This record gives sequence, structure tokens and C-alpha cells, in this order.
Amino acid sequence: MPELTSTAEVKKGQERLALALQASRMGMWEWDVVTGRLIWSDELKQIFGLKPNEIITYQKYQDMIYPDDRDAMQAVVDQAMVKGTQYQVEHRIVWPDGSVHWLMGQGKAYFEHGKPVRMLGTSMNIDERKAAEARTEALAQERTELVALNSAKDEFISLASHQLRTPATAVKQYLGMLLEGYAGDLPREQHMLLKLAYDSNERQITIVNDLLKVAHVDAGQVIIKKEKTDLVKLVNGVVHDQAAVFEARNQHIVLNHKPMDVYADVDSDKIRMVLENIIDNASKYTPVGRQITITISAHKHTVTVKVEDQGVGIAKKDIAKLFQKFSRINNELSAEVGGSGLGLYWTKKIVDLHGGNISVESRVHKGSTFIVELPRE
Amino acid sequence: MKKILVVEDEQLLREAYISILTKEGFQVTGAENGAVALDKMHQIKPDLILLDILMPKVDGLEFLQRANMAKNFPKTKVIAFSNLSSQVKLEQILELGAHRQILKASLSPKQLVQEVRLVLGMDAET
Repeated sequence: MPELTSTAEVKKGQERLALALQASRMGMWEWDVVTGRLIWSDELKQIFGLKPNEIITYQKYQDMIYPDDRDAMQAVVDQAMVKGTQYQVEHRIVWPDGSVHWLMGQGKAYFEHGKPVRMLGTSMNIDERKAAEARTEALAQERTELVALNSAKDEFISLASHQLRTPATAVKQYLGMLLEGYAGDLPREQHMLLKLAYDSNERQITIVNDLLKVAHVDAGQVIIKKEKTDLVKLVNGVVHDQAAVFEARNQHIVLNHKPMDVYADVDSDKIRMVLENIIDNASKYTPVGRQITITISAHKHTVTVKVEDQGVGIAKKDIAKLFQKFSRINNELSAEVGGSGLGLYWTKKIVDLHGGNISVESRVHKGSTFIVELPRE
Repeated sequence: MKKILVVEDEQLLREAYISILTKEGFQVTGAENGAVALDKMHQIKPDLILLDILMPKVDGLEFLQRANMAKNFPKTKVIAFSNLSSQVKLEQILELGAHRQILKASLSPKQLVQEVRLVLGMDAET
């Protein structure tokens, strides 16, 4: 330690120290273990909520430590007096006004002839840091709860859908038996009423299936198994399977494709469902007697399937909502179509999982074009 | 007369399938889970099994494993009733010898009969 030569220099040193402590908002104390004399800096008194002229005793100091923290504090100090190591401890104190504050205390004991004679230490208020920590912890806790809640929701939807599907399937089989003549011929009116019930049940099954599909994709459980697939063949298959629907609505399907076959590396089952959904929508939202044009083309890195209808179209403001969960857009056919508002949400998720893109161009009352773009490999 | 074993835990559904297929001229037996189905396999030696996948006790997958279809019943066809959330299991089921998978609730009675005839190589009824 450099020797201080004059009282003026000592005073300067003390001033510098006081300034540093003030700047760091740190309070300082010194405890003469032998005489029991305790000296506190003004900053320390401020940190403890005391007036500058307040007299401090060790007992008074101990009484101000938050009751739950007293034993731990005492243990730390006791150990410092035995081992001579510097301690650092976070603890709470109670101000005279009853408010509780967090402090970070540091201290060290000094020894003469192997006995502790003096302790020096500092304290600073860490209320802000503690509050921030508590906020972070609360946020983390909240997040954990939300994640759990979300997965409970997915599980619930999945479970409820499974449970709903079984009775709906039974209704389908029994109504189906009646409608398809397994219990003899039905008078026309009865057949008509049963058909309404059957169709309504079909809608219910579709919604339940959509809910399950969405719960599945939201839970990240969908696995994409890519294989070389001829999209022309695939689209032809979809159109063939839905022929009865187009016929019933007197809609004309035009299929254009440049090369004879257009291959892409996709999960054929999933992409088939994607295109089924888009083509089915095109038919449902297009008035009777109009045309739906499907164009398949190959590009350098991608293939596109364009489904163009002459339907009701989608307003600009609604296009953004199109691929959101549970969003249904009102138009003159939406009530008739029904639907769960989940089909396009699922469709987009599946296209995304392929690294592809789905987009829409539309004009109200003119029609919509859905464009699915998929990587070739 | 072709023999069909319907393995379905839901009684109402099982009875519906049995009733439809019986009316179509098949000899149909029901089983409420995979364990019961395993007991009946050797006695019946079905031409076709309609197999639900999600069942209590022994499910469809375990049934196929334990029946060891390729070895013990090489001539028996299997139509598995899948559901959308059992994708991984479905692959296994096809590997274990199922011939066709049908999404549950997707077929009307007549359509189901058509599938059955198709898988059995019979002329589809028009």
C-alpha cells in the first residue's frame, strides 16, 4: 500500500472514494469487532432508509435485516470472520417505513494475530434488478403455462374429434343403408329427407376430419414423404374422382399441361389432398354451368398447378384472411358451401412443408385463380 | 361364399358393417378387438378382414403382427380403417400385409361393398 504523506492527500483520497461510492450508489460500512463500533457512510444510511444523523448499532442493523434472511446473513458473516474470505450475498432489508428492499452486500474480515478485529463492507440496492428478474421469471412461467395450455388444446381437439367421428360414422352407415336400399325401397319424400340428414352428417364428418388434420399439422406431427410424382396423372385422378360433383353442377373442366407429364418430388398423398381441396373449392364457389381451368406447367426449378374458376371471387381485403385458421369469407355461396374454415389453412401448411408456395389472384364476380408452386426436387 | 371378419370395437359400427355385408351375400363374423379376432382367425380363415386400427387391448397393428399374416394367412386380404392422425402406424400396417387403407367414415355402405369386392377380385357391382 502506498504511504500517504499528508492529511491533505488523505482527505483527497477520502473524497475520491466518497465520489466513487456515490456514483455507484454504494454504501460503505466499517465494524470494529473489538469495540463493537459501527461506522456507516451516508449513502449506506440512505440505502437503509435512514436519516444521515441516525446512530447505528450492530443490533439495530440486525433488526433491519428481513427476518427470513437473518440466519443466512449471520452464517455468511460468521464464516467470513473464521475464514477471512470475501463474501457476497443478496438479501432483503426492512426500512423504518416497513417497505422491503433487496440489497447486494459484500464484506471481508481483517485479522490481527489470527483474530478478526475489523470488518469492511459495502451494500447496494438491487431492487430494480430483482424486479426485472421476477418479471423474466413470471414471463417464463407464463410462457410455460401457455405452451402447456396450447398443447392441451390440441390434444382436446384431437380427442374430441375422434370421439365425434365415431357416432357420425355410425349415422353415415345407418342412414346410408336406408338410402341405398338395404332396408327396401323408400318413398321419394322419405328418401329426400334422409338425404338431407345424410348430407348434413357428411358436412359434420368433413369438419371433424379437418379439425383432426389441423390439430395434427399444428402439433408438428405431419411427416412429408417425398417421391417422384406425375402431377398430370395426379390431377387427372382428382378430376376423375370428383367427376360426379362437376356433373351435378354442370361445370366444365379444362386441363392444360405443356409436357405430357410434369414430375415433382412431393408427398403424393398430401399434395393430392391439397389439390382436391383447391379444385373442390373452385367447384363449390363457382356458379352452376361455368368452367374451371387447371393448368400444370414445369419451370426450371418449380412446377405450378393453377386452378382458375369463374366463381364469386374474393375481395382484396379478404385475401389475407384466406389462409388463416377458422376464417370464412362471406359471399353469396358461402352459406350453401358450409365448411370449417380450416381447409385452406391446412393446405397452405402442407405446401409450406414442401418448401412451396400458394397464392391467389382474384376479382369479385369474375373468379379466382389459386396457384400452387412446388419445388421440382 | 366369401368369409369376412369385421374387427371393430364400436358395436354400432361393427353391427352396421356385418348387416351390410351379410345382405350382400358374404359370410360375416364380428370381433370387438384384436385379441378376439386372433382367437377367431384359425377357425374362420377369412378371405378378407375389415380391420379398425384404433382399438383397445390389441389394436390393428398388433393384431397383424401377432397373426403373422404373410406366414399363417397368405390368402387373406386386409382392408385397414385408418384415421388421419395415425400416419406412422399406417405405413407399418401396409408393410404388415394390409392391402388397402380406407379413411374411416369416408365410404357409404355401397362404396364399402365396392371396395370389398375390388379387393377380393370380384366383379364390382354396378
